[in-house]
Amino acid sequence: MRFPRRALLFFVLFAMAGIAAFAFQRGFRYMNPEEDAPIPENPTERTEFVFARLQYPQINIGGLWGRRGSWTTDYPKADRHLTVGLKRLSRLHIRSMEEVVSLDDDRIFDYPWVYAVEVGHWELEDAQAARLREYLLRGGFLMVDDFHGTREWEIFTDGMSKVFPDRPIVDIPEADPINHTVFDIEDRFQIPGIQYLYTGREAEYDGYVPHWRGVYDDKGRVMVAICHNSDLGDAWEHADEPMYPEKWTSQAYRMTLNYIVYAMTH
Amino acid sequence: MEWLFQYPRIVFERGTFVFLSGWPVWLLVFATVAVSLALAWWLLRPRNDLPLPRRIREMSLGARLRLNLTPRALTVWVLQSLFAALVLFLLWRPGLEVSALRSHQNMIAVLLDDSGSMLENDGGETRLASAKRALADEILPGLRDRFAVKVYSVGGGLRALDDLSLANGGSSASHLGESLAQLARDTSNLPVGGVLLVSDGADNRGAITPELLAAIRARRIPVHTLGVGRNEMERDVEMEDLRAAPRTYSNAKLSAQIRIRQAGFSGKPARLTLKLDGKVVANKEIALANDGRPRIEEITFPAGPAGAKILEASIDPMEGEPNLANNVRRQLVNVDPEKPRVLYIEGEPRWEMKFVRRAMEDDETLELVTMLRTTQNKIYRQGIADAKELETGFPTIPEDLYTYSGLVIGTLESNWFTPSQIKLIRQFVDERGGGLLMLGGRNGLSDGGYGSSELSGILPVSIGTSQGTFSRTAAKPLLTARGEESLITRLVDDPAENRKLWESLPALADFQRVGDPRPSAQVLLEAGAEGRRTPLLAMQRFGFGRTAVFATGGSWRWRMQRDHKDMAHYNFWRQLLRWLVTDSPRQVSTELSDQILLDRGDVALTARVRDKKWMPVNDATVTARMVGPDGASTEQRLEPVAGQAGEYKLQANVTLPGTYVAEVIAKRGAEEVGRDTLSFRREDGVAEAFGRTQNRELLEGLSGRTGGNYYTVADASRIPEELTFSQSGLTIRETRDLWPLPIFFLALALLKGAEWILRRRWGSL
Repeated sequence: MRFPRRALLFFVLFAMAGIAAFAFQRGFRYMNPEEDAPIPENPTERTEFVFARLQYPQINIGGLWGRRGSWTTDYPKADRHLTVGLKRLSRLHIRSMEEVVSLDDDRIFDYPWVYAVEVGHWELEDAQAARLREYLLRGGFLMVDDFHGTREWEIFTDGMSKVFPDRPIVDIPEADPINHTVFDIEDRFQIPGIQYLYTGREAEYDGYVPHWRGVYDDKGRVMVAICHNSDLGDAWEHADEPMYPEKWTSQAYRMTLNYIVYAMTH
Repeated sequence: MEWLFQYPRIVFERGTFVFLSGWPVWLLVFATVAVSLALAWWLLRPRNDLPLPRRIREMSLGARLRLNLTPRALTVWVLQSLFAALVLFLLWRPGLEVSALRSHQNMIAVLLDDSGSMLENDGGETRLASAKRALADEILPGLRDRFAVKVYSVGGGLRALDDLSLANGGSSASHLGESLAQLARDTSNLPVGGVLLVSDGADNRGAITPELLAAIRARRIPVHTLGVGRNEMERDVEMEDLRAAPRTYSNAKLSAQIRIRQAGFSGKPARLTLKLDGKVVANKEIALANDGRPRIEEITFPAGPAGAKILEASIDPMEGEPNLANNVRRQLVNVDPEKPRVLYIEGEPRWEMKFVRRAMEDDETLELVTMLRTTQNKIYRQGIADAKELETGFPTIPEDLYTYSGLVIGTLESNWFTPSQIKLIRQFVDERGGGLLMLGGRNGLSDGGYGSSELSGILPVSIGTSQGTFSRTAAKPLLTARGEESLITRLVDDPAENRKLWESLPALADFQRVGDPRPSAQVLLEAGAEGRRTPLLAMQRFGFGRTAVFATGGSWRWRMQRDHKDMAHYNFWRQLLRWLVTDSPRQVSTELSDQILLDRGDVALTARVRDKKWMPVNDATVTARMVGPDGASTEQRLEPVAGQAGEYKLQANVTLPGTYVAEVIAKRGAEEVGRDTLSFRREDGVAEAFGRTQNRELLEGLSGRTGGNYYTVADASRIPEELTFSQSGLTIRETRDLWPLPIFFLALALLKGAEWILRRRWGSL
């Protein structure tokens, strides 16, 4: 049986469009991370602060959406760009190379600050949730970022409810000290990811409104800082991208420094 | 027996043995051996009747050397050899060189205890009467023949006593430590040959501190003690002493030291109870010590909320114990409502600051204010009272810095401070009486350049000028023997459990090598890393304040590596910072002569008033409002003390038994300089139940540590001569011949007599 020529052309165009769309999804990376961000100088220096990235298991959902996003998103370029920026902006004694920590062992307790990306795709096991709860109650601090829309929010909160079944997630008010440790940040606008350059859209999915939320401990201190509908990780990573707006990068660096200093003082 | 030795025992104790003949000692040894051998030949040679030339010719060498080793011959040989050796020894003129005070060129200070316990009647006469009699009849005449003698009374300070009859036991306490310190100061340019302290050792409120003993030892002044009062107790248990800090901050941890003495109940179990304001804080069974030995207990407990509280230690009555009134002792503890403030500054974000802040958040004892240099030009402040506080940075004038009682400096290079700020920090400790704690860090201690700053000299360890002493290497905290006793490192009450807890604590994230501790410093913790131990937590007093070094910035791991409910890290930091500000004076700080008045009503209040720059205020109006147990209130004025800048005193008298609260307020015109509240208590009908025996342990300890002797009243006649032998004051070296000692002649006679008797009995060898 012969395919009609028009049907074959349609099939080829459709396949090409699908491949192109798939390729633009973040997390779909074939490059060696080290090619994207070479190993920085003095990567094993012993410092007071180390940028720790949380490794977590990804939710098992089929389809293209299920394949996007993981703990490695923006890794390691975002981490290394950020450390350079923090060194320049502050007196933080920070290691130039990030550290990947997992919830499967106790090594995480040596890193009281940890960053988790794309948490709209995480799926914590009970033991991992328990370790994260203990980590936070001892004084650890978790910053989560780069998840968008209703569906990813629900997946994130499913995980958080395992960590803290009884603690609400609330909006961090502008007056909270976390917004004023180094920079007074009064206008907390949305920080879109790099997809803005390709799509022209600031929001992803239905995440039009940025939310700056947190989980507080019994003393009113933020334990988990949640950046929903924004992508600070991209803003760090693409700080050297001429087309990516500077105001988003600046805001992301300022907010992150505030969060880190807050984590080290509260 | 003393006549056998001719000289007092002290001559033999202090003297150096010498031979006065000038002949070499080796010759004495040689002569002794030679004589002994000659005697051996004479007494032990083989017996036969051949003339010597034939004997030599006819006897074999073996036969000639075969000695006549019978027990009788050997005994006589030993006796004759000893006799000959002793004669030779005496021919060499043995003697003693001893340091003795120059006649009439030295001063002897006689201190007579004039405290109330000296009026205790020990069968026939009071201790004071017994002491006066010994002084008047046997000691002072003998001393005045040899020395310039100055007599003082001890009790409520050191006072010259021109006439012994003026001592009447009217002082509330003897304050031995303070009196000795004052004597050492007052006589610093006089040739003091010795001190004779006549006391029962009871009612001693002035601590005899290691510093005082060191000062006395440095001048080599022997403190001789003459103990009065009986040594043995009747069948009794006595709560001999109860000591706790008289003032503290709310909810601070307090430690009570309890001494129990008993007679007739050795090793028996007894129940000890400690109450704070009527509430039992400890109740435990203890085994009593042997007769005459004290049983010492230490109990820690929380001070609770602010207020004047009665601390009471008691032992349940023992079976058949006649005197129950001395089974209980009380003390007042003033728990201060005012929170001292501690300023903590860091030169860069550090985890240590976060976790120290967390430790202090729930602490009701003190307020922590922090400054963090987040960027080169930005300081992030926390815990400030208002937006103005520290707005312009670290304080530059005393009025601003002195509002804090403690200061913690983390990893912040010394040249960040101006020279005048460094000087101000030093004055903060030295003059204001604040506490300074310096932490380890990459810009802390020597790496921060503090080794060449003015602060170097006030720290409890030498820090030097080396760089690279800070290492982000795991270091194990190791509790020292001092640390086991300290309240700062007491994370749980039981000492064995506390030791275990310290052994189980995670390693520090980092540590900094420091030099040796200063002589006056205490090292509570050491860091064990890289196969070495280095001081980790050391502290000392400096001026009116105190300083400490905690050579790490990595104790936060004690929080992150242990269960979130574990309090070890929090307790450690709370106790460390409380120690830092304990005793830190306020602008108006008042002291009482006594907190518990036993059967008397006189009490002295001494207030020290300082302005915001901590300069003494001499033109203040200082009043004390006292509220008695019946609720009646009286207001009395404190008068300036001549010669003591900023000091005001009131000698008050209270009549009713019970607790009194005194509020001391200092004003300059209408402006209030400051105020202080304290309490005291009068208890009637209990004084005679305590201090029935002499505190011989204290007196013997004092004389033993200063090179003096302890005497009893029966030894009084020996004292004038024995005090002659001293190394302090103006001395000469005297030599005393030993050959005329009767003991030697007696020994010679005994040796010859024994030989004569034996020979008579045996008839022959």
